[in-house]
Amino acid sequence: MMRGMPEQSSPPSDGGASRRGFLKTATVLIGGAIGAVLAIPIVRFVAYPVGRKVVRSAGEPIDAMAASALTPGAPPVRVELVAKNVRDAWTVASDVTVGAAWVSKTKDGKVVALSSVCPHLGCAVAFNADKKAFKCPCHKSEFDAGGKRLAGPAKRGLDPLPVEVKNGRVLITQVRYRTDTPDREPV
Amino acid sequence: MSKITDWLEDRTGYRAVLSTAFDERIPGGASFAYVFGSVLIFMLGLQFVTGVLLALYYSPSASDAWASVAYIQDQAAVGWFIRGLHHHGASAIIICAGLHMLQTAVWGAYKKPREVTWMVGVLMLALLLAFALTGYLLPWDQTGYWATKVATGIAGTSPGVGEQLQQLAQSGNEYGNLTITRFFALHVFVLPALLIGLVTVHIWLFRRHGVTPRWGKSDAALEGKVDLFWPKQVFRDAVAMAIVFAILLAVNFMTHGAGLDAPADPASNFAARPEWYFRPLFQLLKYFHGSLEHVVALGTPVVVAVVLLGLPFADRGSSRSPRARLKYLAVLAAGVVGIGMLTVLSFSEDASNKKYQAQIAESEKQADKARELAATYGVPPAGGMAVFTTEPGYRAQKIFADKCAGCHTGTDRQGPAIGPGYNSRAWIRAFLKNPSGDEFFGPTKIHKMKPVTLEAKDFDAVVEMVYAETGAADADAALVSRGKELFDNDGNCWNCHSIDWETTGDVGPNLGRRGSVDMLTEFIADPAHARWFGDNNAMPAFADKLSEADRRLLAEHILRLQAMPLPTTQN
Repeated sequence: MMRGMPEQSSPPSDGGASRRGFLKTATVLIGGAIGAVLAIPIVRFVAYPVGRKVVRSAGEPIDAMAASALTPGAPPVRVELVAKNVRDAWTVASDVTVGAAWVSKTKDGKVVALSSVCPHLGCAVAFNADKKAFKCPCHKSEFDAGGKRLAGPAKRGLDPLPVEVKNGRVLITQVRYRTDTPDREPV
Repeated sequence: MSKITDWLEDRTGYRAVLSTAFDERIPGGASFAYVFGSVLIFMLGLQFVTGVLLALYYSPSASDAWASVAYIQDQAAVGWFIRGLHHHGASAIIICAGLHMLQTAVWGAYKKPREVTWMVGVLMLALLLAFALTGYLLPWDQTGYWATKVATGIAGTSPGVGEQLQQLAQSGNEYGNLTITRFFALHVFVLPALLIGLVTVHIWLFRRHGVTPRWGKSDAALEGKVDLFWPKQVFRDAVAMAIVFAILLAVNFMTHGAGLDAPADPASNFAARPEWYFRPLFQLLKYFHGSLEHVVALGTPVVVAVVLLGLPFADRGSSRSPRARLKYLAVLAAGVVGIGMLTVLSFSEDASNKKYQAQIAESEKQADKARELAATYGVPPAGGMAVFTTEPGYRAQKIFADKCAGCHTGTDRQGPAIGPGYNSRAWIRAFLKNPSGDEFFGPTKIHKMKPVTLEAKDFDAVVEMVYAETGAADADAALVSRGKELFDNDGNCWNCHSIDWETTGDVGPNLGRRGSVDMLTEFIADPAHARWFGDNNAMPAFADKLSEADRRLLAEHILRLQAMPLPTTQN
């Protein structure tokens, strides 16, 4: 071979197979370490709302209507439940409608409030005055005027809400229950 | 395992793709000089991930944006960490992009046949700056709001279509919901799509022409040492990524993520500063005034873009050696030095500007208060600024300013001054020494009360007794009972005052529970009640003007004042 001639082109000079193996392992480890450092905070950040009352209102009784507007034995009337103060993640708002209730007075003068949330999957039930029954528009569950289950896929009757009459006003406490369970568990 | 990969290979042909991706030949061997592009890809990927994560919480509206960012920053688990990575990551990208371009320039890698690769890179730099500009506004805090106003204001100075351009940039006549929804859409949809497109072209062109080895090596020498991308270069890339990532983590922890100012306040007079990489332009504008300012503001970016884009076409010599290209490198070096100097000047001017520093300190206080209120009470739907209305006592302060301040503060007072220290021991002492003083009954028609003249020890006792009536928990019981003795005897207070709450019709007001929340709530309703000032009263009755709840808030406000120190001028 003459002096000054370029060296013959050699195959990729990757050193020994063990060095290649080391580099591969080290690269994967570095990548894995960066991924792991990121993965933990990402999971925590994404899962933050799980099990947390992100939307909440003080569970105090809500002034829904005048007690005198109820006639004993008459069909239930629908009232909106307007909370004084609702916290929704970063927002705090006053006078927010948080739900609705059907209120009636029994013949012996007891005031009853039923949540409008169907215990099957959470649609809003409406009272049918002709049939004297609550009907759910979504999956045809039916309940009598007292909230007892008559037909359909619901696993329990309508949910009664805590109610009291004070100074002539009907005060209702808004409670949400888990849907599609036979027993009432507040959420 | 191999059965599964064989099946996958048969259906997809993925091995050929991997081979193309990883078995790239690198003539001259792997090098740390080549890591910048890979680090940039990694950092951009990190921006994508953290950006999507932030979008899980962020709400792009003028009324919600600040509140949602404060929620990320102060409430969501590790929100500050994610947001900090995104914020500091942007800075890291600008630095890495700068280094990448410098390396390319020094290596002469923009030369034929890689002119288009370089030009695509310059376009991507412009995109990065557009990302920075649009992202800066999104928190809708003071800095972002005011700095961006300056930027869109510059657009408004464009010749001819300036006004239309500004209205397009800010989406309408004023900053509002449309400004933020469009900045958001640009930042998270338009710019990323463009960037992905350009990155793809950039990498494709790079792979077409291969790496640009260091100058002055013969083809034979380069062919003599060829590495494959995987694993030798990837390992170097990974090390560089890990170093950049470690620095990013360290900065993020040291700064506890990105800052968040108080919510944007269009009424404030905020000293706006842009992000550090816009500081050179910001500083440059200080030296030009009038129409020249507009020329510089709009012209400088154009000049920089033309120089960078034109570089491969000006520097056409065949040698990539820096020594052969000193002329062009000198232009770039002058640019880098100029940018560096302007940046340093900008920061050092701010550092020595006492007024600006005071303003920063004040705005940091505002920010802390706003964020604490937001975390504790939430932000009302009216928007970020409304967070200040959630402060306990805010309503009372507002009522006081509306209904009371006219007569009880300032120089045109009609009644005693009410401010910090009112009804404190020091205030009572000063009052008893000079009831008709200007700070007390001076401005009123009540001048019958004589200064109390007692020996120091007895004077202390009377002060303590009056102080105790306010309901103060720290009153000294022994002093108080001595004070009561003096009240009924030698102090001669009893001549004009009662101290039992019930008695009416004395010459002076009944001092029972004077200055307590209950007494003040009733007193404000009807100061002319026979228990208090009767016929001497000139203060309006607020029974019909303020609800009992509001009067109580006001009374509590007055007790908060009592706990504050009395300004020394009144002692």
